[in-house]
Amino acid sequence: MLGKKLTATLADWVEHGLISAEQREQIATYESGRAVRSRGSWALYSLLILGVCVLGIGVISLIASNWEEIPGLAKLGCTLLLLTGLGWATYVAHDTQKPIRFDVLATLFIVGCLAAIALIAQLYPTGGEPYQAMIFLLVIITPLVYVSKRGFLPQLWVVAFIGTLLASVFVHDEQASWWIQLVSGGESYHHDMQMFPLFLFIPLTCLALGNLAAHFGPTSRFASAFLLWSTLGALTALVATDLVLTLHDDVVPWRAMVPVVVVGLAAGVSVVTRKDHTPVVRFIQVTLIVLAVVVYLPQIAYEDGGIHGAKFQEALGPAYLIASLLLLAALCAAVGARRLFTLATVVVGIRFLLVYLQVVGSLATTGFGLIVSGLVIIGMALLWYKTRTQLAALIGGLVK
Amino acid sequence: MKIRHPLVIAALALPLVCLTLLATYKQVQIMSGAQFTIPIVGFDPRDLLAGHYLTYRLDFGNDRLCARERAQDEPPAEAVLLCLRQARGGSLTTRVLADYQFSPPALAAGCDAVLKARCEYGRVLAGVERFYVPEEHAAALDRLVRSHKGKIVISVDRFGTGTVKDLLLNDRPWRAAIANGGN
Repeated sequence: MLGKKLTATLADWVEHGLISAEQREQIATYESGRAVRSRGSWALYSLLILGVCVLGIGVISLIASNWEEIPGLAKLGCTLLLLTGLGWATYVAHDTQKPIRFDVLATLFIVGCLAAIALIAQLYPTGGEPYQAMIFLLVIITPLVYVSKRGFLPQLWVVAFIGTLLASVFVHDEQASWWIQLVSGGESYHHDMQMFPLFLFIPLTCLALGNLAAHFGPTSRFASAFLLWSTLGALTALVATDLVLTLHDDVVPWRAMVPVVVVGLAAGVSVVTRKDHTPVVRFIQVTLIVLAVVVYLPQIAYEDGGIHGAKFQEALGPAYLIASLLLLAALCAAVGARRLFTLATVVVGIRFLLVYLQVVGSLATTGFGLIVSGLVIIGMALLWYKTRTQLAALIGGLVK
Repeated sequence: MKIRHPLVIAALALPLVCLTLLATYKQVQIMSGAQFTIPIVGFDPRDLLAGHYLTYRLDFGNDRLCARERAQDEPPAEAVLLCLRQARGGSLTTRVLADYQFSPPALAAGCDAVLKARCEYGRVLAGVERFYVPEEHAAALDRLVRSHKGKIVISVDRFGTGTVKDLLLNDRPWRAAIANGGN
């Protein structure tokens, strides 16, 4: 059975002479069969995952209720035995070429490994930090992620990597945090703004690692995952920077920007050496990196004197965000990332709206102001919807 | 079944091998280390029981371990090396090894073990200040530790790492003490 959208699309294509009625029937027959097969397999996987979860909860409940009665080594032995079984099932899924099943079982296997590390930490408490356990996990699962055929496990690995990076910063003893040691310069205290550059540090690190991974065959499957999280992180960083510049009374200390500048340089080099990207794409990426650091220069220059409440800083926030998002949208259009392009342009629209509300101020609370504001929102939404495809084509054409 | 993908088998076997090696290493570490029994006290009534972990402070009976005067701009935490020596009668003496170059597995003269620790706000922390407790016994253990009846058994390896082996209440393993109503 075909979806309404595909049926309408096929009818439209026949009407415009793009395909014949016979071809439409052939496509419809093929897609119907595919949809049924797909639905069948997803239903099977859903039931399998549900069954595995119920079974797992049952086993955990059984073990948990008798947890204290089970000797430590027996707990560990059972865990390793369960993991071996799960590992074998994962291998069979790979051998029989069931990629989705492989991903599901491999994910359970990885979660099981994490549980085993936690169990070992509980049986032999040596006082380590969670990030150390995460590093161990990342190392031991890397070959498994490498042999996977789809993009899911590399995404999981990169998310765990970012989590580990953050966990190594926010350790129990904050004086032992490498970030605090680096940015506090030996001072015995720190404040929130010293942590803020992490917003920039993480996407830049992901960008550098993604480009580095793309250079080598064995690591290339990690590249797209790193670059995706770099882009999502960049979007978050742009919004956070805008908020800090326009709302926050405090300044980012220069020392906290040093790691960002270092990793920014590494990211810049990694971008420039991507010969498979066009010069324009490389130029946009480098410009975005430079902007991310340069926008903090006024703050750093006036760190001691203070520039609180300065009007130019209130204007700098939205100007930086909108300029950077347009560059990011251009980049997405150039590399064909349509969803990210849409996301970037939507955020630009929202920021324009906020600028409008900031300018109009109290007028927006009056009846007349609300009517005008509503019309502005509807107008902007319609304008964006009508022009988004042309805009993507225009920007894509300009940067290619 | 014929193994057609040895790389996948190796990738799946690696975590299992590494986890087994990690557990074995920890077991050897705990078995080969020097064993010490140290009294414990709750250092903060609000934080004595954090989740399923009993947290406490080691009571070395020596208030001068972290007594070094520090300048106002110095960090409140610093690494220290503790020399542990257990007498035949069981009494433990502890001192700070100032200006000592620790080169494991060599031991400092006059020490049964060297424990890596840090002084934080005048308090010794050696990474062994947590003990997993079952939830149903948490309240009883909390009460007993507060009443200064608790001791911790730690194993210190040649590299200065301490590992918690057991919790003693009234000089008996905590399970036995709990079974006896904490007396």
